[in-house]
Amino acid sequence: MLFNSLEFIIFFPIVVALYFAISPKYRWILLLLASYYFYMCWNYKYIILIALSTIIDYIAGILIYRSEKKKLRTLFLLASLGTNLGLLFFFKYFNFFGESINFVIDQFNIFKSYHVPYYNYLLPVGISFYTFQTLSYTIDIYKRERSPEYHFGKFALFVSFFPQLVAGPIERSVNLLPQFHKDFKFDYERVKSGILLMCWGFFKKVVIADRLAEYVNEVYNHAPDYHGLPLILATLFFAFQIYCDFSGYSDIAIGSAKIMGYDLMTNFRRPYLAVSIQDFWRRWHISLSTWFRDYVYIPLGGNRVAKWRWHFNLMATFVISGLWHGANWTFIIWGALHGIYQSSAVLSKKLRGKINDTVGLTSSPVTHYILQIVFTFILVIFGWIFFRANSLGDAILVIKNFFVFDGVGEINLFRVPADFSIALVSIGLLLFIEVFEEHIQLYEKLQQIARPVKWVVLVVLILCVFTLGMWEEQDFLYFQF
Amino acid sequence: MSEKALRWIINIAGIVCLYAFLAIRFLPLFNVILLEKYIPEYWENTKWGELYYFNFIKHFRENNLPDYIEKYRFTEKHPDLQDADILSFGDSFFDFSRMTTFPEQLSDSLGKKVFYAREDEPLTYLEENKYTNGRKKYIIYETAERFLHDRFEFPQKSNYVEDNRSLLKRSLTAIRDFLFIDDTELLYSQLLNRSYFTTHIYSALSTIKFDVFGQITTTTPKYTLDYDTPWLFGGIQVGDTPRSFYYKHSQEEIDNYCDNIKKLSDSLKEKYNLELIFIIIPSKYTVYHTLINKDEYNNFIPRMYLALKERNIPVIEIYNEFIANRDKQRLYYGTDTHWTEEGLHIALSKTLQIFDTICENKYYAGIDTANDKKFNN
Repeated sequence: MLFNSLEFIIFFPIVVALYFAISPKYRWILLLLASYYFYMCWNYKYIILIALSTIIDYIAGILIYRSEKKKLRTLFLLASLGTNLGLLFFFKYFNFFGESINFVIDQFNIFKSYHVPYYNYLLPVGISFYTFQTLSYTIDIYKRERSPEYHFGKFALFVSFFPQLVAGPIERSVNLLPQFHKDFKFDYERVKSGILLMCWGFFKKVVIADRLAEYVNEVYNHAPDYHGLPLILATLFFAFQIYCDFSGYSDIAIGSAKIMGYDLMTNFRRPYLAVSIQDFWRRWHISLSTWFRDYVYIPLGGNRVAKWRWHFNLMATFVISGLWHGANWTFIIWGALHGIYQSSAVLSKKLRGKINDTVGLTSSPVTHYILQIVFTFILVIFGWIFFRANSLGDAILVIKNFFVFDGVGEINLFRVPADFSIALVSIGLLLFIEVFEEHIQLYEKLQQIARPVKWVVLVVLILCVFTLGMWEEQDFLYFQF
Repeated sequence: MSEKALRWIINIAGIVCLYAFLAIRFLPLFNVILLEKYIPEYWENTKWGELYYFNFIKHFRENNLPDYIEKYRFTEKHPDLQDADILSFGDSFFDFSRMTTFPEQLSDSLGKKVFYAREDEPLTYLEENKYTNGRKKYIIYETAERFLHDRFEFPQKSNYVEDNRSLLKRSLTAIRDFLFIDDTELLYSQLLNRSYFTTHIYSALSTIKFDVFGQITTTTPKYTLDYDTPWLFGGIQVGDTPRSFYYKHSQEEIDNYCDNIKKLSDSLKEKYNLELIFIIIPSKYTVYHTLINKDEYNNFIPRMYLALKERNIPVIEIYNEFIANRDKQRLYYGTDTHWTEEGLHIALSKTLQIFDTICENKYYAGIDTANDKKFNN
C-alpha cells in the first residue's frame, strides 16, 4: 500500500478511529493486524519474510541476553545476522552479484561451463529497512545495551509497524519498543501537528516530487537525446525530486505515527542547507546514516585508528551505504564518491582554511556560509547523477553532455507546460520554508498565529495537495531500496 | 476547534472510510452512493462517453449519446456454444451496446447463429466450456489495435485448469480475495469521482485545473475542442509503447505477432475444426489523429495485414475503408473509445464480403451467402 494512494487514505482513518475507540490494552493487536494488512496489500506472500525475521530475532534476542558465555552469544548473534542478511542478500543482491560473476567469466573465458543462475522474483518492498531495524535490535542486546522484548506481539509490531515499515525511518528498538508499552491518550495538539505534518508530506510527494519525476524520467530515460540545459535542469530537479519524495514519505510516516501517539525519529533536517558533506550526512536520511555510523563505521574503528585506516573506514562505510541503496554499480559509485568527498574534506582541511584566510572569507562569515552551502550542493548534485542514471554508461554520458550548449532546443519538457511554472514555484516555496525553518522553529511560530489563519493554512495545503497533486500512482523512490 | 470536535471528525472519517472499504467489496453498497449506477457487464451505462469519466472535465461531456441496450450475449437469441454456426471472440468493440452489437448484426445479416464471448483466449474458453470437435465452423477473432501486442506477444495456449481444491483452500482463497481485491485503487477512485457527494466537486476542480493550467490526466492526454463535438483520445493509444500509434514495430515484432496468431489458428483447426478469421479494429487515434496533428502513423495495421496474408490467415481489412471514410462519416464517438454505428457497418460489410468470398470458393459449406439476398444487397 502506497501512502499516496486512495487505499491508504481510506485505510488510515479506519485504523485511527478504531485505535482511539478500543482499550489501550488491545491497541497493539489492532496495530499489528493493520501493519500486516498494510504490507500484504502489496504482496500477501512476502509477509512470510517479515514473520520469519520476527520469529528468529525474537528468539535470538532472548537467547543472546540469557547466554553468559560470549561464544554462545556470538553464535546466536551470527544466526540472527546470517538469516536476516542472507534473506536480504538473496532477494536483493544475488542476481546482481551473479550477473557480475558471469560477466567476469565471459570476459576472461574462465569456468566457461559454469554460470550463476538468475532468479526472477520480486524484491520484497522495504526489506532493507526492516532488516536493518531488526539487526540493530539483536546487536544492541549483544552489546548489552538493551534487554530483549519478551512480549512477542509487541516485538512483532516493532518489526512491522506500518507507518515506517516499508521506507523508514529505521527505528532503534530503544526508542520505539518502549512506546508500545505506553497508553497514549487522545492528544489534541499531537493529532493536529501529526495531520499537518502528513499534509506537508503529501504536498512534497504529490505536488513536487511526482511532478518533477515526469521531467527527470523523460531526460534520464533518454539520456543520449539530451545535452546542456535540459540535463542540468533534470539533475537539479532530481535533487529536489528525491528529497521531496523521501522526506515527504518520512513526514507522512512520522505524522501518522504521531497522531496515534508514537514518536519516530527525525529523518531529514534541511539537507540542502548543509555547509559540508559531513553536515549533509547529519541531515540526510538520518536514521540510516546514524545506523551506519553505529553499526559499521564505529565497529570498524571509526577515526580512532591510524590515518590510513580511518580513510579506509570512511570509504568502506560509504560504499556499503551505496550498495544498501541498490544492487547496481551506479549506487556503489555514488557511495564511493561520498566516501571520497569525506576523505578529501579531512585531507584538505588545513588547505581550505588557508585559502579562506587568503581570499578573506574568514572575515566574511555570511558569504562563507552561502558559498559552503552552494559548494556542498554542487557536490551532492554531482553524486545524484550516478544515483539516478539508469547505467554507468548513461551517467558518464550525462556528465559529458552536461555543458554542451549547441542548439539549446526545448527546455520545458513537461506534458502540460504549466507544470514547469508550478514546479519552480513549489521548489521556491519549499526552499523559502526550509531557509525560514533553519533559523526559527516554524511550527512553534505557526502555533502563535490566530486559529482561523492556522485553519486557512491547513485547508490551503489540503486543497493544493488535491488540486495540484499528481495522483496517478507513482511509487516512492525509496521503495526500491 | 476543541478536542471533542476533532475526535468527532476522526470518528466520522473512520466510519465513512469503513463504508468505502466495504462498498468496494459489496456492489449494492457501492451503487447506493453512485450518481450513475454500475451495472456489471454494462460499462456503457453512462450519460457521457467513457473517456469523459477518466478526466471529468465538463468540456468533454458529449451530448446525445444513445443509451445502452440489452447485450446480445444475454438475450434469448444468443445461441449455445455448441449450436452456433459461427463463433466470435473479442473485446469491447464486439460487445459495445449503444447499438445492436456486431455479432448480433452479423447473425441477422447471415441468418446464422453467431455465438459471442467476451474473451481473448479462445483455447482456454473452449476447453473450459467443453466445446466438442464437430463440423467445420468459422471463428472470428476481434482485437482492438492497442491490445494486439498483449494478446500475441507470446503464443496462446489453453490455461484452463480444473479446480480441484479442497473446501478449506477455496474458503481461504475467498477470504484472501475479499481482503486483497484487485483494482482497489480504481474502485476507490470510482467511488470518489462518481458519488452523489463528490462527483460535482471533483468535476469542477478538474475543469478548473484544465482551464487554468491546461492539466488533463495522462489517461486522456490528447484532445480537441475545435469541432462541433469534443474529441478525446485514450492514453494507451498515444504513448510510445507497442500498443500505441507512435511505436515503431520492427519486422521481427510483426512476424512474431503473426506467427503466434498462426499458431492459434492451427490449434483451433486441429483441436476444434475451427477456421480463424482475424479482425483488427483500428484505434480511434489511428483514424482521427488528423483532427489534432499530422503525425505519421507507424503503419502497424497495414503491415499486420500483409504478414497475416503471407501466413494464409483470412483477415477482415477495415483500415483503408476507415481512413477513406473518416471525413465523410463519424466512425467513432468523440469522447468514447468505441465505434459508432457507421464504423460498425463498415466492419460488418467487410466481414460479409469475406464470407462471400469464402462461400464462392466453396471454402465454407456452412453458409450460402451467394443465395442470401441480404448479402447481395
